[in-house]
Amino acid sequence: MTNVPPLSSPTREIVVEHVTHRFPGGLLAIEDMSFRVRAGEFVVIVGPSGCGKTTILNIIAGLIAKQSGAVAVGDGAPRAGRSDVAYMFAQDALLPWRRVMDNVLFAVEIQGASRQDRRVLGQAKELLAMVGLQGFEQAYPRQLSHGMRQRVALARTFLMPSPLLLMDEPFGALDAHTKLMLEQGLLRLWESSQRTVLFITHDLAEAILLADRILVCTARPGRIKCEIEIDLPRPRSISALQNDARYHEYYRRIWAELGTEMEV
Amino acid sequence: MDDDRKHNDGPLERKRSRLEQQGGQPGQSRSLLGLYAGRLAILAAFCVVWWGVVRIGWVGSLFVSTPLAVADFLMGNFTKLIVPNAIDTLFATLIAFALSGVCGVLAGLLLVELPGMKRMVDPFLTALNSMPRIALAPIFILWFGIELASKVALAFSLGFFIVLMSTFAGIRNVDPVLLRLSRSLGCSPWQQFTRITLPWAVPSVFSGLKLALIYSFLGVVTSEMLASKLGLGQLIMYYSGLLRMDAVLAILLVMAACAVAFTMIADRIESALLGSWTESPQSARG
Repeated sequence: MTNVPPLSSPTREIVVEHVTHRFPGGLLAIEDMSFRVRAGEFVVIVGPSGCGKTTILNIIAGLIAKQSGAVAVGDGAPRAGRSDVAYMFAQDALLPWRRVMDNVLFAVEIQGASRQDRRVLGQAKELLAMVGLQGFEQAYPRQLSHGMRQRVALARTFLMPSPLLLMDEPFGALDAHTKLMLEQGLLRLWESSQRTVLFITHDLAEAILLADRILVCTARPGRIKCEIEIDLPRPRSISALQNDARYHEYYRRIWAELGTEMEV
Repeated sequence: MDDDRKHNDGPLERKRSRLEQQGGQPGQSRSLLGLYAGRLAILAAFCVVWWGVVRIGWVGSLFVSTPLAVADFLMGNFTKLIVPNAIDTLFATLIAFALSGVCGVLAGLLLVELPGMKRMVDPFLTALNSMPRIALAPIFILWFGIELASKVALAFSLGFFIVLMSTFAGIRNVDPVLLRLSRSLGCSPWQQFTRITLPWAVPSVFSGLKLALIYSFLGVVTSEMLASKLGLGQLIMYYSGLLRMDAVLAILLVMAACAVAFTMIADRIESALLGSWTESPQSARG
């Protein structure tokens, strides 16, 4: 894991203060949301669907303009295309005409890396191996399963030397087994670098496995209802957590918080 | 992952999946042979029925001729009559197709880049495109004479719009998640255009080009039928005036063969250029 790309700059924090956002139709998506992600921290936001989780991520990424409140990413305002922020979506967003290797290189290419750069190519190869896609460098996306495509997207994201990582339900559409594999892969990648991660999910088990801290979001309009520090030792593995009473205690607590938000 | 094993991308594997892409079934060469034999059988059965109905006397040979008379005409006039006229028709078709392709793609790109202009010219485009082209033919003949130029003009008036529309549609329906990726990575407009939008539109442009090729051919033949010195369309008009059904059917047969050849060549080129990333996984896996 020595060859994992070094980060382009020291990790920074994300500060969100009193952000309120209304959709063009008048629907209030987020109301007075405040939270902070410290440098190097892995923070997971969980909440019922439609609570504005993706909206706040899009605001932090600079893809939609903030309407009120304050948002700081590192020492600057959010802006799309910042090289210190990497954004991974629920969809793999692979380019169908590029082979796997060329897709992995796409993001760094846009940010100015050369395709001929041996070091970058080596890192890309290593990342593909880490997500279990060794030997698939020359395959086209259409030849891969859903889970494999999302792993390519994961490798593309981690090839970017961005210290800040935004992840919008990246494993949400995968089957349970593939999901566990990718979560473990993500943890390994994260532990080997010093990134700050803001991760969105509605899967509680996933949240507890990954997070330093979990923010529970209310139903629409979204607000941060409470935050829960996950004090479990790292490196974590899902099988070890299954035998840990604290894991189940966290699960119960968060479920209770969320349960009042979801009318089942 | 269990499906990982299927994608061992060694040279052998690639060769195998290539083969599978072409036939789609296991037992490759046998099923391909069956396919061609089946097609031949359909053709033979058609000829037998044709020959039979004339022989029995259900239809007069004046109206449908006979398979033998058609074959006879083809043999007797192939090099001196059919080939030179076919070359003339095909030459006009290719010129019209090339012009339609270049102008259609450029116009499509222009309209995507200038949405204001697109809104302005939209009703005119619709009006021009919905005009019955055969009604334009006399005008083109008046303007361009009865040689190459008027045929090309009529064919171009068909092909151009087809390519224009498919280019425009291809660029407009780019997957929104790719545009989101492009924005989040900070692609410049030029980068987004060359790295995402343009490649995305290629399959759509290509299917437009395939259609334009066939329509160019139709346009040229139509123009020849109205007035021309040379060409397959002109031959058809000449022989139908003489009530020579054997000749008319023989020429129609040649035209059909040209159209099939066009389609097959275009499909081959498309598959070679784009097949690796556009064909569905099912057909690739066999």
